[in-house]
Amino acid sequence: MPWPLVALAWVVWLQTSTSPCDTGRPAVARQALTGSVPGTASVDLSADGRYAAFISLARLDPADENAVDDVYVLDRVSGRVGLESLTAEGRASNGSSEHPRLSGDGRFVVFATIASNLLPGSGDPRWPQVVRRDRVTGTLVLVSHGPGQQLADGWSGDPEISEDGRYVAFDSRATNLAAPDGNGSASDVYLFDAMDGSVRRVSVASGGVQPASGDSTAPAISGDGRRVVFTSTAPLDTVSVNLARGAAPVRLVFLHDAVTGTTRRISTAKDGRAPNGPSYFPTISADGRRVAFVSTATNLAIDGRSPRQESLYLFDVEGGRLRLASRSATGGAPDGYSRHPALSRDGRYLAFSSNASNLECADGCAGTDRADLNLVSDVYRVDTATGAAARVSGASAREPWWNASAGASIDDSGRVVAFSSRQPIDEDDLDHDDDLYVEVLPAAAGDMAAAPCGPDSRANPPR
Amino acid sequence: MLPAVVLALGMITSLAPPWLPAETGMPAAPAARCEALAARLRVAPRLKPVVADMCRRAPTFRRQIVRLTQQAGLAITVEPGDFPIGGRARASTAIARVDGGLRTADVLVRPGDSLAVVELIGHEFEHILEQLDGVDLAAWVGHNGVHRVGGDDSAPIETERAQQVGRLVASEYAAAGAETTALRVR
Repeated sequence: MPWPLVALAWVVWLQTSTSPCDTGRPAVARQALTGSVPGTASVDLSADGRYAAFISLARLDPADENAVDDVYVLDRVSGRVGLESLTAEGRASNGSSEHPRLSGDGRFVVFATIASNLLPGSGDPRWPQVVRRDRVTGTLVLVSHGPGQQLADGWSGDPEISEDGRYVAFDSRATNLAAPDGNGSASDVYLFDAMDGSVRRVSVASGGVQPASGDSTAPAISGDGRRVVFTSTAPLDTVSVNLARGAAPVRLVFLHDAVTGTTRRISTAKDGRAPNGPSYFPTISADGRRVAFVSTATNLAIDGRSPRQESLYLFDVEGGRLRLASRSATGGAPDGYSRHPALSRDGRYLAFSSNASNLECADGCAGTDRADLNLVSDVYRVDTATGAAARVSGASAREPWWNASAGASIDDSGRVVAFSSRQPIDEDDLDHDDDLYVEVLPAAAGDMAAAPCGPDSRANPPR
Repeated sequence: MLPAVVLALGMITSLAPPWLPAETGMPAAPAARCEALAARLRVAPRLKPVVADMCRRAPTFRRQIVRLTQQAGLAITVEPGDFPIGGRARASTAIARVDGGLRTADVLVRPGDSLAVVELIGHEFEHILEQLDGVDLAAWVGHNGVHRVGGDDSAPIETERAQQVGRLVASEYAAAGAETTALRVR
């Protein structure tokens, strides 16, 4: 994965919103920030949707004295934007950071960084490292470490954190994190436990054996830290062993249970055959019961035929059922790709980006004020209980959005969706860079999820 | 020879922007930035006053200009074109790619009322932006407001996106000042 991944200038923009408790059109609690490439924006919401973590090159905080990408956290209640890629003494970092992720209550933030002053010891790290910051105490912990707090000797990144902040899953090409490393500098997925500081490899076959080939990346973790999903070309089960023997191993999604030590393949094909296309971008609901991922395979084990283009699939961990989640309004194949899934706590709501036009209405909502005519990626939310899809990006705007939106993050309730968009904030916003939008959606009929109509949902006061 | 594709024959629909005399009220900096960047385009002399005016009046056009001029290696020309009187086509854009990247975009617009020209330029510029967005227009034909202007598979493609953005540019232009009624581009 390239480093640095994202971020150019970010500019904070706060607008007074209507109350999300209002009914009718989706109410808006909107903050706009700029930066990054569509679809790669590192944006992450806390469980209650109050906090949003992101990357910025701009100096949004007086403490930011550098000229590199930094981690910021936006408090949607107070409207404050605070620099988080800080040393324990509160000084600015001396290197770029990326991929911030928040614990459930927003207390802990993990991210990857090449800043030497955020790491123990001295000297510049040759590779990005993963650190966890306690936003209350300011304490920094090195996550990607070998014995004796050695820095990882290979690229480390893509961290994901459990609800209580104790566990961090990340991927790394290092060979010194959990010796011996049988696949050398190929990427593996690791699980850090802040309770004892341990780091263990979880991209292993059931029984704990590490394949000698293949790489494993892009982990996601359940709220309790027990389940880790990731994508891998490593021969982690019988089917993937056979695939790995071929000329081009197929990337598949796996689920590792850190308690039982078992690893299970999620991207399954019909009749026990191998999937005929890759699966990637996995995510898991906080309750650990649902896994979503993207695949281009056309023979996945679902009712009906899998679309040819990148589509989203939802896997029920308990029931073992796989189904197509990105469907047209009539239940058929979408007319465009779908990417970057994010799940609410119970997995009922799925947010993602798609350039398809027939998710919400069969005819692209032609002739209505919801017509999707921009031909580029939009952010959608699907209620997987009903199958109903709703376009989130630009849904509450007076005028159509003609620019791409992507990089969705969703809160536990499924009502708060954050994403990046190149849609300009106002007429003075000339640059074609990303803004961060946060939309608070109305509750679905019969939805038992806690509605964010407490302090979180208040209109944001100006800073 | 560079492979060129005529993307669109535009502007079939009529203009219906509000004609609201008003102070321009535009921030000087964005307009000035737009005008400076627009100088990088190869605009026919008789169209330059309109383009400059569009920079001063239409925020959507300013964003188009900024983005188009950020594309390294993309040369854009805007010239008056001969389109048959009474014909449906009033503008076109021919785009050439080299190694997948856009290299030239030649915009032709039918001279006439300045507001019509404004809409045509905004419309055609949006077609270029569609290509910068990576939109596969041929794949969208029949969906999402994309159709061919003509009966066969080689006919130019029109998009509702370009039509709506063109109208938006024109309405912003119109709303920003009434003096444009005196202008005609010949």
